[in-house]
This record gives sequence, C-alpha cells and structure tokens, in this order.
Amino acid sequence: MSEEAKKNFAGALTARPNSDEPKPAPVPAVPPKKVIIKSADMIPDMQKEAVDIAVAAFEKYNVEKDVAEQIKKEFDKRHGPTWHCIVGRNFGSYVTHETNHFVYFYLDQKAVLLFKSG
Amino acid sequence: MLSITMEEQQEPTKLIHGSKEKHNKAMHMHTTPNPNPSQTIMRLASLAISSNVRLKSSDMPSHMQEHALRHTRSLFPLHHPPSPKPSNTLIARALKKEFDSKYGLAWHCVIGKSFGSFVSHTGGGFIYFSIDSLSVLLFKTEVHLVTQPPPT
Repeated sequence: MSEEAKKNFAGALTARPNSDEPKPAPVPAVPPKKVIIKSADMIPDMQKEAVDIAVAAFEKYNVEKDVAEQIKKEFDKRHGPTWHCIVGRNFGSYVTHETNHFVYFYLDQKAVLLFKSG
Repeated sequence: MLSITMEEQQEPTKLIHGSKEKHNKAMHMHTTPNPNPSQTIMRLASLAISSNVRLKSSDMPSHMQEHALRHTRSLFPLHHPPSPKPSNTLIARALKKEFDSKYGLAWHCVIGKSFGSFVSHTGGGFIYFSIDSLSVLLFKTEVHLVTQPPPT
C-alpha cells in the first residue's frame, strides 16, 4: 500500500509541468500535491490515471462539483459508463461498486471517491 | 346610440370575436389545480419543518422521499444532544442498506458537511437533502448480472 502511495506521488510529480498558471504571490517552485490512497479496489495503472485526472481537474476548476464532473466524464469516456465521483473535505459514504473499479484517495485536504456502478 | 358607443370603446375586439370569451373560460378551467399534488407537497413540507430537514433536489416518488427523510431523522433524532452522533459513514451505510432492502439494489449514499458530486442515477432514484448541518445524497444505479467471474 505504501509503495502504491509512493508510485502515485511520483505520478503527481510528472503532472507538475502542466501547471503554468501565474500565481498571485510569486513562489520559486510549486510543491506537488500530496497524494494518499486511502482505499482501492482498482488496478494500479487506473489508480494513477485517476490521480492524474484529478490533479488536472483541481488545477482547472475551483468548484468541487466541477472537479467531480470532469473526473467522472473522463472515466466514462476512457473506461465506459457508468462512473460516479464525489469530491470534498468532509463526507462519509457507503456505496456498491463493480469489482476492481473503486478508489478513494486524498489530494492535499480534498478527498476523492471514484467508483463504477451500473 | 350612447350604449353602442360605450360598448365599442370598452371591448372592440370581443364584439368581433365572440368565441374568444369561451376560450378564456376554457383556459380558466385548465388552470384549476389538481388537489393531490398540493396535498403531497403540503405533507412533505410539514414533515420537513417538524424534522428540521430541507429537500434540495429529487427525482423520486413522494412516498420514497418521505421514507428517506424519516429514516435519516431516526438515525440521529432531535432533542437528544447528550448522546454521541454516529459517524457519517455509519449513517450512509444504514440509509443505503435500508433502501437496498426495500427498493432493490443498488443504492449509494454520501453524507457530509462539505462535498461536491457528479453522478448518474436511474429514473426515480435520486434525492438530495439537508438535515441539521449535514447534506445527504442518495441515488440508485442499475445492477447488471455478471455472467462470468471477473479476471483476477
């Protein structure tokens, strides 16, 4: 599990060149987002993909609903319907998902729940 | 002659098209509200007030909406502040399993103070409401029979 977390952390690093947004306060280097895989029933490649898409979505959108929408639609497109995504700082959940299609991870303070069902 | 002039000035078009008046009457009949929907709305509204819940969005039969609101309220009732409040996950689990058993698989539930979501749901299987300071999302998806075990 810790190894997977490290892998995904490395994945987050590779996403850094994409962030060319000008910051209000000039910082020499933008630190990569901290990634923690809390729970997963998903192949590692797909997990990394989920994290990468989430990182990009957080850079593009500010509203959690828009981030969730971006992630869900991207996975519907790449891995077939039907995916569901929850993003936020404070929530508990209980869901039914397809085997090998569930991931729950943290990006800094935000939690992301992504699963396939239906 | 005076009466004729007054009529013309008041309603010139109606004199020409007498049937228009009937059309207006018909329209009025159509606007008469059906008592059932208003009664349903009133019952849900009174339930919401007494339970301190607020319905935000739903695509669900009214009896199921009422069930969701009542059941969630029962999981952490009002007027019992000393008792510890169950965790969001446990509440989500209880509500999801209640609906799984009553209305078929598969339901999903998310409860929390701060979250955004984007999900797909089956027709008639979606409700989003708040209770006290928590938001509750409950929705249903179709279940497909697996004919072959997934590769390990």
